[in-house]
Amino acid sequence: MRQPASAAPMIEARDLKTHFRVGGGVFTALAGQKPQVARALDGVDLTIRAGEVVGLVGESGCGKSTLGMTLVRMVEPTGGEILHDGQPITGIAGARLKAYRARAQIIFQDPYSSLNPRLTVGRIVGEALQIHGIGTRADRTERMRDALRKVRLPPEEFEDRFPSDLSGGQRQRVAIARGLVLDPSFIVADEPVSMLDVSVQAGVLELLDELSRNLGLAVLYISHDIATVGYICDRVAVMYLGRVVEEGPVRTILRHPKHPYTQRLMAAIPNVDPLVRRPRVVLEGDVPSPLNVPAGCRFVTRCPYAQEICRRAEPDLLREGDGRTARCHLYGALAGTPVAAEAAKDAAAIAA
Amino acid sequence: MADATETDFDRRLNLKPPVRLTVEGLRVIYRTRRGPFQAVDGISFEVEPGTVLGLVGESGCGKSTVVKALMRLLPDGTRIEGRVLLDGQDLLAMDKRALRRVRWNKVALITQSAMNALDPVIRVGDQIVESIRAHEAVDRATAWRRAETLFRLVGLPAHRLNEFPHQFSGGMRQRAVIAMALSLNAGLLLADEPTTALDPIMQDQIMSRIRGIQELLHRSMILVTHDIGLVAENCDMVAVMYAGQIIEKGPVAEVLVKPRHPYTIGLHNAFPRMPEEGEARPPLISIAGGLPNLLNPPPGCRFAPRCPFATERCRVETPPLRELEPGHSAACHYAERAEDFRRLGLLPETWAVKEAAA
Repeated sequence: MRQPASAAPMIEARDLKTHFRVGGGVFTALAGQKPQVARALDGVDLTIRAGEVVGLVGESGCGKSTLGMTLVRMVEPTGGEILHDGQPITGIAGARLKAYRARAQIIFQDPYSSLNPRLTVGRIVGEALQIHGIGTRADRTERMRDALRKVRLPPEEFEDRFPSDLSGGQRQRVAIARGLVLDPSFIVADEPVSMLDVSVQAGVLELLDELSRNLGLAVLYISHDIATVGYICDRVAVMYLGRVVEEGPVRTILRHPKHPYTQRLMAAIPNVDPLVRRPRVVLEGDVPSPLNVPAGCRFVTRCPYAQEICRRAEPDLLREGDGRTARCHLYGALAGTPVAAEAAKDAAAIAA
Repeated sequence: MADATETDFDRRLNLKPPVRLTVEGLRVIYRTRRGPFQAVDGISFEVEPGTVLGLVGESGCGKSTVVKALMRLLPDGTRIEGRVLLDGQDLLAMDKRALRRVRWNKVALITQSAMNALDPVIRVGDQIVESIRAHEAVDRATAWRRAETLFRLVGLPAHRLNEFPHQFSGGMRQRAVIAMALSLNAGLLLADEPTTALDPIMQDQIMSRIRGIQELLHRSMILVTHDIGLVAENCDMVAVMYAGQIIEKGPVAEVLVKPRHPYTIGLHNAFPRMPEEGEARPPLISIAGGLPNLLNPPPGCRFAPRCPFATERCRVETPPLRELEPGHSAACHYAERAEDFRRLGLLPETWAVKEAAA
C-alpha cells in the first residue's frame, strides 16, 4: 500500500442509482402487468481521489460492473449524482459528454474480445485520438507511441503487430494503452487480470499501480480476487446487492472487517499455505435478486445476527474511528447488546 | 449417507470401493492442420484410493487434456499412448462396450462449465434419472429416490429436481452437476476447474461440499485447477504441469512449502498475498515469456527460456523427473540448489532479467 492520497476527489458518486426495467415489452403491457425493476445500483456513495486505487469487491450480481459502467456514463444512472473533478456530469450530453468520455476510461476483463483483430496495435491505440479529432497525424502517432511506452510495449516492436500475435498479458497492456492515450484522469479496470495466467498477472497489476501513482490517475479496480485487491488498492469498497456496505483503508477492511458480510467474504478465501487451516465460516444461500430487495438491511436474509430492527430499517453508513464506514446496525442501534458482543467474538475467531 | 430414506440401491452403491489410478507414460498427440501437437508428453502419476491429487498448471499446460484422456473424451484422430490403469484395468485398451461400463460407474467428471453440462430443455431430475438408468437396471422410482438423496447431499432441496436448469442460479447449477457426477458413486472423481467461474463465497460453498462428500464417501479424486490456494486446502498430493509435462510432484505440504522446481517457485510467488497491517507489501513476481511451441518442442528443459537460473545444459539436455525426497520429485538439473532458488525467486529482480513485456 502507498501513502494515502490527500488530493481532492477526482470522481464521486452520491446516492447513485441505476435501475433497469425488466420485461417491459409489449406482452407485459398487453397483459396489464407493471414491468419489474432491477435495482442494480441502489444508492451508492463512493469517492476516489487522484492517484488513488480503490478496489470494489462483492459477489457476482452485486452491481460491481454496473457501478463501473455508470461512472464512465456507458450506462445512464436513474438517480443520484456523479461528480468529476467537482463538476456534475450526471445530466450532461453532446460535446460535454464526449469530453468527459475522453477523461474517463474503462478496461474490460477479456483482452481476447475487446481488441479488434483486424487492426494493428498502433491503430487500436491511436483510434480514439482520431475520433476525438486530436492533433495532426504526426502528433497522434507520437501520442500513440507514448501510450505504448507507458505500458512497457516498445512501439518499434509492437505498433505494427496484430492482437493475434500477442499473449494475454500483452493484449491487456494494449487495452490499457488505448485507455491512456487520451490522458484520462479516471480509469475503471473491470477484472483486468482475471483471464490472465497467474504468472503474468503481476506485471499488469504493478503497471496499474504505477500508472495511478505517476500520472495521478484515479482508478476503480473491480475484482472478485480479493488477494489482488489487497495487493494494489489503497482503499476498498464492499458491495452487496447494489449498495456499499463497508468502505475504508484496504488493510483495515480486509484484515479486520466489521460488516458480517465482509467477514464472511474474507473467510471464504483459501489460504495458499497448506500448513494453515482457516476456520470454516460458510455463508449459505445466494444473493437475493435485485428485482426483490429485502426490506430493512439488504443482508438480513443471510445474516446470522439479524434482529428485529434489521428487518425494519436499513442501517446508514456509519463512520468509524479508523477511517472506515460500515452499514450495519451492530455498530449503531445494536451497539452494546449481547448480539453485538457475539458478533465481535466470532469476528475475532475468524481473524485469528 | 446413512439416513432413514436410504434405499437398497443407495446401500449397494455405497459399498463401491475407491479406485486406484495408475497413469504410466501418458502421451496425447492432437492432429492439427499444422502437424502433430504434443499436448501431453509422457506423464506418470498415481492416485491412492481415497486420496485427492491436485493437478496444477496454467492455460495450455495440458491439464484438461489429461482429464479428457482419463474419460476417453478426446476427438477422433487423437493419438493416445501409455497406460491408464483403473484398479489394474487399462482404460486405453478398452473397447466401446467396456468403456461404457467404466464411465460414470468408475470414473465420473465434474466439468468446469456447469452452464453447458446440463440440457436446458429437460428437468434436472430427469437428467439425473436418465444417467442412472443408462448404467443400472433400476426402475424410475428408485432412480428418482437416488436423485433425491444426491440433492440432499449437495445441499439442494429435493423439490427442485422438478425444475429446469435456467431456474437455478450459477452455484446451484454447479451443485446439480456435482450431484449428477455422484449419481453412481464412481470410485474416481475428476473435478476440472469446478469453481473457476464462481465468486469467492460460491467457490467456498462448492469446494466445502466437494471436499465433504469426498471424505464422507471416501472417493479418489483429481482436482484440476490453476489456483494454488485450492490445492493447499483440498489436496493430499500435487502434480505441477508445464508444457505437457509434470515438472514436480509430491505431497502438498512438501511441494507448496519447499518447492524444488523454479517454475513451481515462480508460480507460488506470483500469487498475491495480502500484507499485514503496517508491513511492507511483499514483492510480486511475474514470469516473463510464454509456453514453447508444442508443434515443434525445443530440446532441453521446456521452462529454460523463462527460467532465470537456466544454463547452457538446460537448453540441450532434458532433465528427467527424479525423486529428491521420498515421494517428492522434480524435473530440474539443479534441484539440489532449490534453497537458493527459493530465496532468489522471491525477488522480482531475479525474474525481471528476462523481462520483455510478458
